Amino acid sequence: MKQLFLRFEHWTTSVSMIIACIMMALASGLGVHQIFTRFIIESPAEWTEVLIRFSLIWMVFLGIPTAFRQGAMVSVDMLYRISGERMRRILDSIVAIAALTLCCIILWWGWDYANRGSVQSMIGLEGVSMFWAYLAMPVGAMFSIIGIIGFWLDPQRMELDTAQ
Amino acid sequence: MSFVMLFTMLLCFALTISVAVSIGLSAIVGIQLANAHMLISVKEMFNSINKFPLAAIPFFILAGNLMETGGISRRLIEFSKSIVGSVQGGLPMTCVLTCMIFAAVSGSSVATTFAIGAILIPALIKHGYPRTWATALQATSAELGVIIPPSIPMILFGVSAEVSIGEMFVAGVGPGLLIGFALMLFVWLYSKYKGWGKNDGDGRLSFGKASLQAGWALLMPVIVLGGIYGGVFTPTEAAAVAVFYSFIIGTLIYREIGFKDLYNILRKSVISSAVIMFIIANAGLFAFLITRAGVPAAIGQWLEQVLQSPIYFLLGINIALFIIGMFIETGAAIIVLAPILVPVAIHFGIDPIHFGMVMVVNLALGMVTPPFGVNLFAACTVAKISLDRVVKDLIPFIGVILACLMLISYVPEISLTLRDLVYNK
Repeated sequence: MKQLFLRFEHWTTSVSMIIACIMMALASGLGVHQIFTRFIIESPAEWTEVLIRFSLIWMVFLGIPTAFRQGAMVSVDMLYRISGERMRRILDSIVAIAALTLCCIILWWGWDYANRGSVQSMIGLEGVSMFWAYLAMPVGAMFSIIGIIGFWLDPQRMELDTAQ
Repeated sequence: MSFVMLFTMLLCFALTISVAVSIGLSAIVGIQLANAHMLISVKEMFNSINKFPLAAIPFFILAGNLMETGGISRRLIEFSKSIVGSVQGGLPMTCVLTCMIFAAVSGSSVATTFAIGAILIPALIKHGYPRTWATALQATSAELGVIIPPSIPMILFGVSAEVSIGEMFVAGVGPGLLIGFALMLFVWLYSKYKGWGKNDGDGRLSFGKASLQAGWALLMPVIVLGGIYGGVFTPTEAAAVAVFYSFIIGTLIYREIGFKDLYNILRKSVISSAVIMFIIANAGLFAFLITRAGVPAAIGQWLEQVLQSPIYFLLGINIALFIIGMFIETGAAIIVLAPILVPVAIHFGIDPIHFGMVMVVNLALGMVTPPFGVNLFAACTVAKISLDRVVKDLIPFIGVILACLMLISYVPEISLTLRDLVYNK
């Protein structure tokens, strides 16, 4: 059961990560495109800035599941360093429950907010509903919840590998 | 309400819950207490990261990672060594100088620690410097990563205090040079005093050869910063240019990035950016709630009454920030505190840009002060030694930075002269 879930979790977290990477690459490409249109073609596009913002928001929310999964979220881990094996297990559980609570709230209210946003259209990119921008929150939260359970079942600590 | 929020946050920190989640949960508690609609939580989270200037953060992180994999750190080290490496104590000076240059390419100090430390800490140990001292040196020098532009904390300060990020970047040059040179002077004198590093100059490239090798990398800060100051790009666009430039350098010119590396670089950058941006989202929500409750105004009034002159104000703020920086992550501290403190600073006649420099330099110090100092953790990881052994050697380094911080606080010209020159104020 545990192995089955972890395999499922590995799959969902990887999918979310791959999409996040595509979003990052897309945003960078759009950034270069924006400068290109302004200086070379001299007709700046209005929609690049909007798309950069929204693709980065998708990147953030699809990137956090992996961060949760690998324990890469920055924390003040003084207590963890001085704790024994059993205490660490308890702390892992507390950390997982706290993160689950926050993600459930984001999932529930994010979905609500996205639905309300479906009547709005993106400024600078009319014709596209804000639903697609807000949707990043509940979708990311859902992947995160799966990732957090994965972390709880099989904790990893990779905080420093990606810290800034 | 605010006290309950603060208490929840500190309790979560103590229980090793991640910074972003701790801040987010305490904000949720705040929404409940204020009987506000829970929809505010997601709305404000979204709004806090839906800002174009913030897009510069993932871009600078990606550019930094591309540069690192693209073989830049080694070339920059050779370049620095060719300049300062010849004297006794030249190797630790090389470490400081490389960090200064690397800082002008990347906006992060942990990345600087890993990139430079992985090469220089073993080299320092080989040349007879104690492992603990080398670790302390690397951790402290890498702090320059956020003081010399481009810098992620400066972008955050610009966004949350509503000042120009370009001006912040120019203002960072003076303090960055001051701290860099102060550190170099310190390690030079200290190595002489201890009799370390008599053969540091061995195996050094000539200046010409080393600069030729590092030339493409050295051109990057010129393009990025020159572009911003010249008014050619916004900081966000400059960051996108940095990504493009480092990509071309890494793949076509140095040819050290293959197709396979690309996914790893993207992945690493996505995780780093997501962690920071998620902290920003939660801290933004937190800041929104306390602003709505009138806390900044109340704290501001209280500060104006208690600390009656700019001199005491700067001193008090520096002490408070130093303590806060020991425990709280830099980005979160800036987002929550800048909106509270900047109006008070303006009331005392302090230029917000100058005040921003004081905040950034002070909180950067928080990255090397235990118990919560990401940079110190990173340096200890690279040097493979435990944190408590480094602390003793760290103290003099912190002393040097504190002295510089006092200078930066009380001599605004260090930050503002260049800014006034560039922006004709």
